[in-house]
Amino acid sequence: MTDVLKVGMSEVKITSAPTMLKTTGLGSCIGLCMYDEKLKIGGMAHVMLPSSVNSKVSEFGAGKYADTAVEFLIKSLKAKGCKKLKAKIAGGAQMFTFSGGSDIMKVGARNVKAVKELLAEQNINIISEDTGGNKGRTIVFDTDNFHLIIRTIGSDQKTI
Amino acid sequence: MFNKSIKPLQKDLLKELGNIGAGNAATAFSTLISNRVELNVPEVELVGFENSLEFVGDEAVAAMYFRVNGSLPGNMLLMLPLETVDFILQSVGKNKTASWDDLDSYNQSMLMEIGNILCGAYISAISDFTQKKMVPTVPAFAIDMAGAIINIPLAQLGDMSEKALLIKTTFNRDGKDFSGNFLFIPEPSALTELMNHFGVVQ
Repeated sequence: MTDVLKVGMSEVKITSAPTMLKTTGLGSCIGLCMYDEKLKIGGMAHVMLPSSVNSKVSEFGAGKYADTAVEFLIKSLKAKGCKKLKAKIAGGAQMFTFSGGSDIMKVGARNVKAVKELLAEQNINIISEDTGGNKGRTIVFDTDNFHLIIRTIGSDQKTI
Repeated sequence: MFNKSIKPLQKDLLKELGNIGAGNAATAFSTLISNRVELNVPEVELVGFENSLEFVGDEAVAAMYFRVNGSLPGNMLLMLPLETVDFILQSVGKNKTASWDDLDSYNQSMLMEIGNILCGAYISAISDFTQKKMVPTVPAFAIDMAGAIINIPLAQLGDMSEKALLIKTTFNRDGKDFSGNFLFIPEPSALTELMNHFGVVQ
């Protein structure tokens, strides 16, 4: 039986094969997976918001913001000897259809944009993604074959 | 920001608010569906974001989301399991074959209007009791996993806190075919305002 490590909202977890990483209830949040294929070490962050700049609290989970999550994943994976990092991302849905259009309703799209920009800055390639749309996702990342399995309500499971 | 924990007296007060709000909403609901709606004792938890999704579960629900502005700002969700949605569509809408997975704009509007009435009843009861102004926005609607839906109110809180104060009041009809919950998620400033108002030491 393979172990599955649960990643809660705003958390980051690092593990190695054959342990899997799982996060449930990704709505506007992003599941960011970063891994090294050679060492079979990977990490997952459950990102809530695009930037820590506006945070009014000083202590928070490293995975809470896109910027702190990317930084923490790179630092932790490099500390374990990872060299060539790759990424897969999922999430960032617009959960509510809302004509008023307040900023918080569009947080999913802002999260996707922030994560992509930060990864590009660090020269980390996004191998595959399943972002946007209006459906919540549950994801499982397999650190052995680097498959990212995505489940949504009302459609078939897919692997990217 | 929220303190590390909430004291028993604070918790009691928040439970009472959940009771008052949901009690008023349940009365309105009973009238709408011509069936008695019973409330359970509210659950009040201050949970870290990392554990917050477990509090609402993974079930598919229809959710109506309201942002509440005013002196007690926060977020309000009405979450209904899909069987309950079918029951409402069929009993209020009188269409015996209506279902959540074939929701036309008429039925969606009806659900949102019911959400509006119920959350309005919830908010106005708390507002009357506390004498604080609370103004809900127009509702937003989604059918999805409860955990994914709660992302939005939590993201709204994200910059202010590391925890979420969740006041959940579940309700059901006599049978098992009908249930749901109201989830009120006040912002940190609303908690301070409330505790000051009632003279509860923080």
